[in-house]
Amino acid sequence: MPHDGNGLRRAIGEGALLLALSAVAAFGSNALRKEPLPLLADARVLALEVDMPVIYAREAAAAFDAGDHIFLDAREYETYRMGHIGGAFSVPAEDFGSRYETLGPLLAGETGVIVYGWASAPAATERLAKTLLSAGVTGARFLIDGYEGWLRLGATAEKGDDPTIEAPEGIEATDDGAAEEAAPPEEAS
Amino acid sequence: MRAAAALLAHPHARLVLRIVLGVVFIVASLDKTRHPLEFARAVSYYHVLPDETINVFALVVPWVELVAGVALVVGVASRGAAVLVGGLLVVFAIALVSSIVRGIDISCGCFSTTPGEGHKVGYDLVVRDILMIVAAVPLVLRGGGTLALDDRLRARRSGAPGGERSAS
Repeated sequence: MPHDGNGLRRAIGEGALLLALSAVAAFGSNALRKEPLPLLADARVLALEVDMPVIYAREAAAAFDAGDHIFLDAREYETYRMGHIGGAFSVPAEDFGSRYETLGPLLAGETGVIVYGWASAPAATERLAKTLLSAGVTGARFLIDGYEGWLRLGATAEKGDDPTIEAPEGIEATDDGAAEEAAPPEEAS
Repeated sequence: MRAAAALLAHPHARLVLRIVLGVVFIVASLDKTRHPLEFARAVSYYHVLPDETINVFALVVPWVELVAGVALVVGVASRGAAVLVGGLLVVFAIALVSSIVRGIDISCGCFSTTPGEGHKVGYDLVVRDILMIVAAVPLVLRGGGTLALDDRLRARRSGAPGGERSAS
């Protein structure tokens, strides 16, 4: 396909002009918005649909090391079994009622609570967070960068069953329910 | 290969390519220009951009899609619009491949910012992306083809009758 350098330069010039026009339209329309998107704030926090303080994986890892927090995993049990934060309890929001007997006393105590799930599918974690709030559990925090953020830290992950749950029907329990060490997470770099 | 390139370079073929690409980009931009916060969140899931740049990217990119899409459809600054569209497609391809390689399971955020509604990231999206890059190349190199306003504007400026070769 024949072409000349001059034409290509002009094409890039035109592109730059259109880009500038787009930027003006983007920032202009944002400024006119009822709630403009701040340029630097974390969109995951702004979009969170539950009124709960957030925590990032780095701080959560410090809490994990201090050993004074309990972690609640909001994802489905099958997903939990494939890998979760070490010692976390599996609590999909719909199961909260049946898990309350075990977890209620822990949640009522002084121990900090951190709820998490996939950051890229926050609805499940939001449901659990709302359930906790309506059950009167205050002081819980929401892991905003989620299990992905945890894995990226290269922090401890386990796989296997939650020892405090009887394996649901159709799921074969792992050896004596003990959690085994997971392979190094793929995402950690 | 040469025959395919010649076919794509034909002015009528370029008319079709720019209308198709333009409409795809306009449609892709509509939900995102209206919901920049949700789009920013979708972008953050790719873990490709530094956190500080995500919101600016999420604000500007949908408008680039819209402006370049409209420019392609009407055929104004067609080559520049094709450069932008091609550049975006390359950026999207890199983001898609990098998230597939890292095993990140997310919705692509390509056309919809609503979680769960989007297409899951996979190699089919990379193929779609590459096909669109191929479609953009003749437009970058040769302009908008038949019925592009570019040619009429140029013709009017030079006083010659319309037609894509008249001004070169």
